[in-house]
Amino acid sequence: MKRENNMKRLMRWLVPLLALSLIAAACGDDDDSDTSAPSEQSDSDSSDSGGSDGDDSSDGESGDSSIGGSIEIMSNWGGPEQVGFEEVLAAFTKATGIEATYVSERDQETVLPTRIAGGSPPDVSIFSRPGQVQQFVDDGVLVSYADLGVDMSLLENHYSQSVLDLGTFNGELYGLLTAVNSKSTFWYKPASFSAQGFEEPSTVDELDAIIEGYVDAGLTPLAIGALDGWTLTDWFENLYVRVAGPENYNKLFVTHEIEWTDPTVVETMEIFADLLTPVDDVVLGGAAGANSTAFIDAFDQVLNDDAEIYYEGGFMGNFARENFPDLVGGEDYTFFPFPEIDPAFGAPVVGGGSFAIAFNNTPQVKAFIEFLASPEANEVWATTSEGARINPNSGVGADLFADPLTGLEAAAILAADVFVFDGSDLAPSAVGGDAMFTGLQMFLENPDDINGVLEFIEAAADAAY
Amino acid sequence: MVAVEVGKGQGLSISRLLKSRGEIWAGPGLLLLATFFVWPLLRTIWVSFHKGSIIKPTREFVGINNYTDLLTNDPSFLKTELPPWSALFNSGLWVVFFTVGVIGVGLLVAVLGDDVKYEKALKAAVFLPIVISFTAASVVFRLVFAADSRIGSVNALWTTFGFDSVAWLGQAGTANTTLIVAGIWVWTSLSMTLLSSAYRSVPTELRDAARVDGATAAQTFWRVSFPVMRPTVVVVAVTMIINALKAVDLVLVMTEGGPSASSRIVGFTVFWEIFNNNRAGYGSSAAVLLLILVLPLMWYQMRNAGLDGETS
Repeated sequence: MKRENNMKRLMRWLVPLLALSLIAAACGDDDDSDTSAPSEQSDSDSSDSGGSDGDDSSDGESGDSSIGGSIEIMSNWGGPEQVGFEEVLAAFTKATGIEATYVSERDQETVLPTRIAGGSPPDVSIFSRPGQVQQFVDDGVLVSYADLGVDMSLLENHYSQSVLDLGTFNGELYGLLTAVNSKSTFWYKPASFSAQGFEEPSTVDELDAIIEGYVDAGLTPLAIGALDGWTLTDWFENLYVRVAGPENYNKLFVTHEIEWTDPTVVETMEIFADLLTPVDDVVLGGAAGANSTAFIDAFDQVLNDDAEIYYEGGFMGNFARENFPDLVGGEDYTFFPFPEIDPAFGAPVVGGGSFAIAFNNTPQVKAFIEFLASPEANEVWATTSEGARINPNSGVGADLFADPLTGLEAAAILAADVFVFDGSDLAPSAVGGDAMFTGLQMFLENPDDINGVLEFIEAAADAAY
Repeated sequence: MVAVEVGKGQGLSISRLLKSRGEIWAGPGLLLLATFFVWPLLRTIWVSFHKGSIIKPTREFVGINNYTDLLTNDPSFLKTELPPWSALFNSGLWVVFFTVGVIGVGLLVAVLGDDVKYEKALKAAVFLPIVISFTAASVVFRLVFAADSRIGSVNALWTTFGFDSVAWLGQAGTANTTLIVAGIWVWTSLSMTLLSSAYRSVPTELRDAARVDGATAAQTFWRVSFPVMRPTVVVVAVTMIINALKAVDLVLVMTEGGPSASSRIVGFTVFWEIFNNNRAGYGSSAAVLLLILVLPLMWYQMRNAGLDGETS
């Protein structure tokens, strides 16, 4: 009986305690919103020590070297690209004393919104979908560069207005475009070309003749990794900007002032169909083979000599190096730029890249953005031991790159008159990441039904803008 | 003296309260349940009446618009605008063929593999998939069904019989069926284990008696063993139907719902709309529809297990 009473006495304490701990756990998240508190303190620290340490002020470009504190940066780079970026971060820490933690998140498009919704975003994300950045801006979760107090003259000195425009949302600069790549590259094997007597085509008509030449020779000209629907959208974007020009390109993808059933789109799709038909002869495995092949596997098929040409971005060189270490990039395989269609529009570069966007307004974040924009940082990034990246920074020359293919790609990007961003990334995800994938896979299955495909995409676009 | 008595009285009343109101002891458990099940459920239903992103799911109240859009406008949910079938119909195929397959193969291995020489090795082999993460299994199966017969083992076998290799995952006509086959492989392990133990629990005297009375092996199984195993079969069936409806991983990794959205199922649509298309409300409405589909099954299973308070 006595023991039972003791038990009850214990419970009398235990139950409320348990409830309390639960409540405490539920409230735990709120701590994160205070992350600015310690950094503000370190800010005042730095201004104190800044007084005694006056010589640093002469080197304003890469920030105050005595700020200290820490910063968390998230992106989707893993493997060699992560190694390269971490070398850039090491240089940042050396220059500023700020501890930088890199979070590699392959599925960043999914994970980042969840972290934002949970109240604990990273300080900075380097993010590749401008359409989604626009949504972040609309949701009010980003800090503009002006609010951060970033030195705008630094940006204007080293970046073209068109690059800064790409990172401008609702009239304010929110993201610096970094780590760009060209998606206007056709990969081919020089030995295969010379065996057939082909030369690098400069127009799409010449490309079409090469494709037909391969078919006549009994070879399969193209491999396509259409399981990843974005490989098809990349094809389309390159063709469209060459048919209709960059202005219409923005009207189609960004503002939807041009509908998907517009004659310019129909014309583009007809050119696309001309190149790919008859699909069973032109594309390895026909439509079904392509639709079940992932983008890296498709390039492997070309390097395994099952097909001859592969269209995808400059970044494919990294995969070739990894999967085919015996082949020499630039000799056994290389690329030619996506050829012209209309001389009026020439050969614009369609490319991707990632925007450095800020979620927290701290001096560390400001210092990081300013460092990222400096020629020093971009030189480090161009010469890392692996995973070197191209940046549209005027302080970086194409000759810096150790790998000849990356140098070739950098030269193409830095020399391009027009650089347009990957259109499917500019469009709302329901269009650029869903309906376009589905529609273009349908098109591959049945290239005759262009109108059906375009009406399908237009229906999704009509609902999404 | 008085004070002591008061103290004693309080102690007694609390203990009496705790004794008479047993619900209090369920308090912490209920709190957890409310936090992690009831609140998210109500929240999902609330979000499904809104238009918004993952970050601001309730940006704009739109009433039942998401539901009407999903059921009348979505090209791949209910309508069959994209051949051959819609996500809802694909889910129906999953429910029927996946469930029958998982139970059928599970029963076969459980019963025919009982008391044979290599029983342990056989059952271990069938059980093995359960220790592999479904995502990893999905990657493996993408290779197993690869169109290139030098990579895909199914096509390697297929072509030795003189057929042309088939892009199982690349055609609208075969992608969903191929996913179902992969699903059966992944889940048979669990079903076999449960059914095997149910089969073991059938008293051998029953089977022996039936045999002595002249029943054939088939009759012994269907008339004697199966009725004893029936409750387990029902539990496995209901679990598998729910699995079929909410499956995401296999579809996402093996086909991304393609080609041309031909292999989408309801569970995939929920994930895809919320996380790929960033339409929290729209995806939530699909989730609520999914819940409505699953609810009768859950109720049936609970009743079957005697959890609804009534004795069964």
